[in-house]
Amino acid sequence: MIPAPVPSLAEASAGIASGALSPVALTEQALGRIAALEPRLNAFITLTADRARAAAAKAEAEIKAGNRRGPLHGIPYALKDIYDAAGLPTTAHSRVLGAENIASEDAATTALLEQAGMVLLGKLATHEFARGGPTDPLAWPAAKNPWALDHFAGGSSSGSGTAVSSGMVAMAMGSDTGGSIRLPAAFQGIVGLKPTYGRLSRRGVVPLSFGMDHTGPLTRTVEDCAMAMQALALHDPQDPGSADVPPGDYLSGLKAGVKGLTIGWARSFDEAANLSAEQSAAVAEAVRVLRSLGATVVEVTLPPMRRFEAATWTIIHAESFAIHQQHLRKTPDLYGRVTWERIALGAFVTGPHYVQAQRLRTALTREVDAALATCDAILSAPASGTPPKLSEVDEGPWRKQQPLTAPFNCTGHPAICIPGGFGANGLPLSLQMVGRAFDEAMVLRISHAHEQATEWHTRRPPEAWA
Amino acid sequence: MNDTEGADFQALLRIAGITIPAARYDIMLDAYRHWLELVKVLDEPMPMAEEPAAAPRFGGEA
Repeated sequence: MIPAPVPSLAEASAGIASGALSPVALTEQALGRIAALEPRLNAFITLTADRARAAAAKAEAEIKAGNRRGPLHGIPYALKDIYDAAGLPTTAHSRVLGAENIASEDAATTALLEQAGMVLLGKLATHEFARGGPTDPLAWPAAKNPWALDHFAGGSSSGSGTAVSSGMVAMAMGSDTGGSIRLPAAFQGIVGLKPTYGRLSRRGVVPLSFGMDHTGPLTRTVEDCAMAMQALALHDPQDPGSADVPPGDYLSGLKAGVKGLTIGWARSFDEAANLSAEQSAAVAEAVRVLRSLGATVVEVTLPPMRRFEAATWTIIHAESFAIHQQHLRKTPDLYGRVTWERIALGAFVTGPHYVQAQRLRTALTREVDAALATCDAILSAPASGTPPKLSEVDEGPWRKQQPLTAPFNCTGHPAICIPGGFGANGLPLSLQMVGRAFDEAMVLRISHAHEQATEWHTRRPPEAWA
Repeated sequence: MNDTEGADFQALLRIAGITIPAARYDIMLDAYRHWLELVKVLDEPMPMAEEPAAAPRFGGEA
């Protein structure tokens, strides 16, 4: 028998606070579910069961002694395997680093979750170096989408999405350079937040692109996402990209609703991306729901995708090539084909290209700021529809269909994906909500109101395959 | 194949110090052509005041 999905962070926190739930029992439930599902889902690269049991026992003893550290104490979590955790391998899902690459320190975000008393279950599958594809033959298998094993799980935080959507864990950390937190969330019917550039530390996380990399959580509910952000959003003076802004408050206004708010609908931006009819209908339905809750929804215009693409991918190509160039030349055979080819595109970028892309990025950021000056947040689709079949995923070096997530890596605005319905094939559809810089609280507030007015987040993937 | 594009492609790979396997050469050359098309956007004039120093909001400007 398969153990039940783990409770949400909010449910687990309440249960532990009341004494109805034990961290040890919760950890055993998670480990039991992982053992039952993992042979098919491949979410984990490294499972740290012994360490988790010891951490859960320690948390339980501390809580029983009256020393509960906070709302996350004693709750299991997991890390995309590009985050360092002291004493554990950081593989980046690549033979280039391999299982011998043992971290000597925690990543800054790992350290915050450990200080909060969370229980690390292990390290999760990713696309190689957060850049490859799902079908490259690598040292570890690719994570599967529990909604349909032959469909794309989204990437690159694929294992993070799989672990959360399958109920192995309530929260997992991902990273997002062009959509890598939001797309697994979108394709697996869960919540994924890319905070503002600089809001969460990237220290101790394997870089892909210094200027585009963001860290953030994947969860089942918006409230859980806010709880994770409350623990994670602290300035890190040791991360050169970290913004010296005060800690945010993501929980006190979470349930304030949307009455009186103005939400921009990026309708023309979506229409230019050839959304499926189902995805278009999902966004239109979200507009209807938000209006019914008292929000004013107005259409807003964003810059054309082509300008975003030029700035975003020029910077990502150049920076990822700069990071990987020695290994690309000396040990090309250690990379998967997709990863190597995509990073090799950086060979085409000239110095003037890179400078022009940074200048364009500044202009685009200002243009999106201007759109957000007319509204409290912007609604758009994150992708063209439900997750494609694995056999239909574009794994060429140059992806012809760009997701609608990458523009906000370019501009650094916070952006979340939340469940937005289901296609006729039973697979998830998603919505993207984009906020003003450092206003994750507003993004979460609007997303929570939509979530509570719909039932999409209550649906679970089938387990017949297990 | 456009000879100039092909020669530029090979030169860039040589400068970068990487080699494309023969079986993937045409696919990577096609990617290069997509790249050239995309970066035409970067040739469009921008005001000199448009500097990259603050991109996107390093240092915490809200």
